[in-house]
Amino acid sequence: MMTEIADGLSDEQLLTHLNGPEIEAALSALYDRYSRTVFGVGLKILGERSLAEGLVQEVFLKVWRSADTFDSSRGRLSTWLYRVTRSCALDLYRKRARKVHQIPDGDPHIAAMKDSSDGPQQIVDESWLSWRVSRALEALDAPHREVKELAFFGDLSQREISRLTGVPLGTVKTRTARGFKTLRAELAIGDTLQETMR
Amino acid sequence: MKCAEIQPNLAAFALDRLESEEAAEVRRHLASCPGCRRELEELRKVNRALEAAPPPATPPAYLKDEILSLLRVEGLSPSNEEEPEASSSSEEQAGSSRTSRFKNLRIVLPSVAAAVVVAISVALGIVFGFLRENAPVATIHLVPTPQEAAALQGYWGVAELRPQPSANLQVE
Repeated sequence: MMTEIADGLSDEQLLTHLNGPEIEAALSALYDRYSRTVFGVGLKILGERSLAEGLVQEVFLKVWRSADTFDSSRGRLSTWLYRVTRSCALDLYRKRARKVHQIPDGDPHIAAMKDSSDGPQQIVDESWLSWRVSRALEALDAPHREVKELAFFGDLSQREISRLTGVPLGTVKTRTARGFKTLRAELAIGDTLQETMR
Repeated sequence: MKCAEIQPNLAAFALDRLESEEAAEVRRHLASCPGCRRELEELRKVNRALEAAPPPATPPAYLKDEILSLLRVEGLSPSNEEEPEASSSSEEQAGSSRTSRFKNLRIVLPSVAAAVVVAISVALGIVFGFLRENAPVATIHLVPTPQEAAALQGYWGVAELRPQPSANLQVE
């Protein structure tokens, strides 16, 4: 299977190829589609770039090893991949927590300090929304995503984006509006955003 | 202004990314247009959802190569030995030969890599040690006292003073 052909297959079709001779092209295509989301959500949950990189590796190797456990009747591949990501992230989170909390006996100063960071459950709750939004952003094509990211994450005005990218102001406005429309459809605000984890 | 003229600016207005004069025009229109106000409210829901978005980031390029390399190496492994894997969630219940072989690989690969790194370091150290070594400027014979010599069974040592970049002399 050539890479170009793999790019034309659905997520579920790619997964079936993980048990065949075209495993590398199939996993490569899945990686291209999902690695930014896994990495971004990993950064948000774990807060460290090195841990997020470890998460990406764990997730895609687990996808390969566990491809035959995916059941399409229980949901889309994106949802299954989220569960794999969540599971791996929690493992890494707990490992990190164990390292952080190993303190010498009898040190009253350190022992008195409380960890004020979010607990695993809160992190998991927030990570599902992060995943959904990231997938919605990935659904935008590159020009629309660039405008959206510069406006939202870069705090740039429409005019500033136009100057920075060399794209006419009218086009920037159109892309911003279309980007919002696509995001709204992808997120289906108020309807499926609270999709339950089955 | 008409709705059609306002619509292209509404998304940027929801993001608060319009220039002040354009934002003022949108506000004036919204004051008299319930349809555009409803549209703005929908856009603001999207905007609130975006707050949860992870920062735009791409994993380093070498990560993909590493994962695919692991797959290639694993594909060449002759072992088909199966090993049960304890797990709690459905996606982890696929105890397969691939799993056990990968686990073995994860144990073996770091050891092999560490051995290779040590071997290369030692080899480089020897080569560069020879290349960088300066001739001793003095040699000192360490002669033990008769009592020490008896305890050391005839042992005696030699110390060499060699010039160092910092102009200090190192005793070996």
